[in-house]
Amino acid sequence: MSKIIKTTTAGGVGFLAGLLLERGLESLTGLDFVDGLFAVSGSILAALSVNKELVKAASRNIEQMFGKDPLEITESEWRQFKELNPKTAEWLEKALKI
Amino acid sequence: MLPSLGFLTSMLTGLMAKAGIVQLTKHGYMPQSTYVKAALKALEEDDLDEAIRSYQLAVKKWRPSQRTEIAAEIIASAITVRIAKLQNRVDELEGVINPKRFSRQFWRNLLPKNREALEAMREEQRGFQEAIDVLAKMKDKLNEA
Repeated sequence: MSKIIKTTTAGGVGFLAGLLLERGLESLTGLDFVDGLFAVSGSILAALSVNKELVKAASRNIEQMFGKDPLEITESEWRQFKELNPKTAEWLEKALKI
Repeated sequence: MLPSLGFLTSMLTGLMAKAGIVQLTKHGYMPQSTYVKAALKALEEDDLDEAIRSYQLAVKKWRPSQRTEIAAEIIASAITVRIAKLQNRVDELEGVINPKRFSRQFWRNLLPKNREALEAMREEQRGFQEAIDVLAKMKDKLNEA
């Protein structure tokens, strides 16, 4: 029983210490430390995956808006999309190097 | 044949770690990209409630980033597209239910055999209007986050 209590206490203390360290570093450096850690540990793939998901979601929106494949939209349709979704359009232009 | 204390301890630690991760996820402590990804996944599955919930978690503990701004725009745009489609159908039904006076549809609506169909259309229109209101509220909720 005492072993269980010791293990759980140690786990809890470790967790709190980690949380405090993370928060402390975040307030000192102004960095999103968990995201930073993930990036350093090679989880940059996860971020890239989010980018892929963003492109996919934006392309689905274009498809629903104009009823056709994003590759088939005209320049005026693209301008219309850009007007309604300025941030997404700008990001897509950069990401896809349009 | 009871399991050993060591096994029980490690199992308990594992369970606690799992519960801890669930709580961290629930309260927005996981990396922001986790929530953005979850929001986009929910959007793909047409689950707007979950998409908005995940988006709100993405900006609950972390500062809004370019990714969260784009995700919000994508979710808002998906809602707008749905509202537009529903509104088109509402307008279409409106033309049949309340046609111009003395138009062909106006006379057609007066026929007793069309009464039931008209009632069904009114019901359908009410349903679509309610759905539009719900979607508009969702959009407001997204903008509040």
